[in-house]
Amino acid sequence: MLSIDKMIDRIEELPSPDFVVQKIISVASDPHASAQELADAIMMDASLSSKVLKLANSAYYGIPRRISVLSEAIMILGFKTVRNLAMSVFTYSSLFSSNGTEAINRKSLWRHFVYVAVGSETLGEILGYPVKEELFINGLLHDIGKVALDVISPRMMRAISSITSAKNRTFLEAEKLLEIPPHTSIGAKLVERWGLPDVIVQTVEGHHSPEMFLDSINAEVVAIVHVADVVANMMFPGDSLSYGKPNLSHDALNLLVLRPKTLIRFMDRFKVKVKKADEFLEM
Amino acid sequence: MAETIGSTEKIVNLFSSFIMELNNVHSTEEVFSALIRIMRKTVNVNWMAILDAERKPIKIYPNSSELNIGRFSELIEWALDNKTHSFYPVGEEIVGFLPMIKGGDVLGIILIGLSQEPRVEEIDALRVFSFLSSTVSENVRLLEEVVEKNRLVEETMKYLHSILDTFPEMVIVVSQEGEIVYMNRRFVEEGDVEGLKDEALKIARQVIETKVRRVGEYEKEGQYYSIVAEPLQYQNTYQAVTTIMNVTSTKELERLKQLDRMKTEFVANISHELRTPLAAIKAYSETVLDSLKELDENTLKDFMETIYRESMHLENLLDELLDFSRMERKALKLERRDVDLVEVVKDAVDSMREYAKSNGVKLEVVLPEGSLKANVDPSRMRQVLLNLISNGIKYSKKDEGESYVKVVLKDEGEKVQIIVEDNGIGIPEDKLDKIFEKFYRVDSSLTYEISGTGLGLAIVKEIVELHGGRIWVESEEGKGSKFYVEIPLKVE
Ligand SMILES: [Fe+2]
Ligand SMILES: [Fe+2]
Repeated sequence: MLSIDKMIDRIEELPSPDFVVQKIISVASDPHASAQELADAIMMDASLSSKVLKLANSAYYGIPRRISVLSEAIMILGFKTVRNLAMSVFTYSSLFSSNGTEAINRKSLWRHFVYVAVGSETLGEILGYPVKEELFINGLLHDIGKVALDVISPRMMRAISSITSAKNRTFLEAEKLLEIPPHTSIGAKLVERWGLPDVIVQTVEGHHSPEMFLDSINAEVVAIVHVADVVANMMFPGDSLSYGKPNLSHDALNLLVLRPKTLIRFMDRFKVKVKKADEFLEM
Repeated sequence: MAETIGSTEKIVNLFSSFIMELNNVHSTEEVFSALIRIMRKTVNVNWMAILDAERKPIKIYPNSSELNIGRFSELIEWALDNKTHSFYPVGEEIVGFLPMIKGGDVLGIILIGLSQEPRVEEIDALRVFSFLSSTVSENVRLLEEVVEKNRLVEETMKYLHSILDTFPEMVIVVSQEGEIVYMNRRFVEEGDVEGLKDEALKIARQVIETKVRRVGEYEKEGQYYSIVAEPLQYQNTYQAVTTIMNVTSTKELERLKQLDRMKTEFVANISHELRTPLAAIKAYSETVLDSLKELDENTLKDFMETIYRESMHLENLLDELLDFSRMERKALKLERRDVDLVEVVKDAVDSMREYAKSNGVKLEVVLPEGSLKANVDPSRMRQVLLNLISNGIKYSKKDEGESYVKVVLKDEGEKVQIIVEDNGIGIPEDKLDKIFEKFYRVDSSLTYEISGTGLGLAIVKEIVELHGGRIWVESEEGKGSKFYVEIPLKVE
């Protein structure tokens, strides 16, 4: 087995954000940036900007009038949503362009990414979290470690795959059973290397154990993504190679003051939102 | 991401002043006024409209402006449905749609018309301002609701109190600790009667203890009160709702009614009583007149004795009636003399021997040795003795065992005691305190069997009391009665 450090070294084999995406990330992180700057950054890649526009006009947002230019999309949907769209396009392309095994179905894994992104945003909406767009990108990237693991060690991925599906276990249980470095740590190292903000690093690291970050300023984000991930895994088992009964953290529920009634309301609204997210699945 | 929310001094200052303003708001109106002020300090605002959950404008800036909100309805619905804060270019303007959401519920939406495209940090600030104001306004609204609810509760309480105050009854509520926690106006005004509150509290405490309704009575200086206490469960404790009512007028009315009834009965009784000896006298004298020649001396003597006895009886009845009428007019007077009570008693007993014998009753007398001097009205004392002894004989058991009446005279030093004891039918316990009342006879069904006006004991009592003495009775139904007369020897 590879040690986690050795694995991290091999992360370089993964696609890293190109210049355009890096520019988008840095513009989106700058409070003084204008909508035009973000629009300019996205427009550097023609295929990226057309995909972003396509998503902006998708059923998921259901804008009553058509958006034809990026600056308008940024104004209407907000700066962060447009950044999310750009990050989605990047994540999608890196997922499908990297080498890997057949042990994990990339399409299902991508669906899991999108659903957890949508679920996190929806849950934030219901809980009254003020910046719900922040939740989308955190949800989108939470399992990026699974992509890394598949690239770095196809053999391990195959082993996990056979255990989770055959024995009805969660991905986490299989990792522990096989003593494989967890996808959370691998993923966290990856997004850190990509220069993504702290909140995303903590979400990737803590989405299965939100109690790790209870004292962090990002505690709510980590907890919301955790709940969305658990619900997505229960409603769509196997999408992220996880079966069985995922563990729902009591600390997360307490932190979010999430009562059963609210949880049920979230699941109802989540089902509706998921149906509208088709255009995110095929880019 | 901390970096998105204003790191510039301007934003920090705006936040500080907004939060300070929100600290002092008391109504949703004030929240939205503060919001409009802060929005105008942040960006170039052409106009603003704040709509409630029904999309009705609740606040518009500038005040006079006439806005056509209808043209935005599609975008309003979209923004509310997606719970998204967004800005649309509309003509020359940029229009912001900022939903007000709390806990997933739509409280309303803020529309804002800007002359130029807002910067990212400005958008963030506007979003947070609208978010804060929707949270604060909702809390203020809830507070207003609570205040209104309290006002309603208070008004309802007042209403209930004024109803309770109009009750003719006094009402108090006693807590589990035995304290009065409520009293209506009637109680405040009329409840200050010595001992009444204590009696009501005593009954209330019993109710709290037993959790069962209780009824009581209280009398003070001729005023009668009925007390009714009911258990009331209140916040896991038991209280007693206690109603006190002055029933004096009801009692008085009842007494007068009963007196009236007794008088009617009395007239019927006395007529019968007078008629009986009169009928005998009439029948015997008629017979004597019609058959004077045929009657032998013995029979004639017998007839004449009967006529004499019956006329004596008639005289007695009339004397009683006369005494009663004197008593009623307070005209009954004593003629005191120094007499020997031993002689008076012996004489009275002797005169009853014949009557006792004819009724099969043994008459005994126990007298002190020597004489017992007293200053009394001897004929009245004799009347008392005759009355008590004849009652003892009258109410003897007719059909069983040996009946007796025993008269005892006792020297008690300062006073003298006369006891008239029998083993007759006795007096029921609940009637004991009534037998000295005028017109009263224990069982009116006995009226025709036992003769009498029903005035005897009332007159006896009056005579004893005129002597400064007292009379009482001990009795057990079916076993007999024991009348006690106590007369002081010295006249005060
Ligand atoms: Fe995971
Ligand atoms: Fe996951």
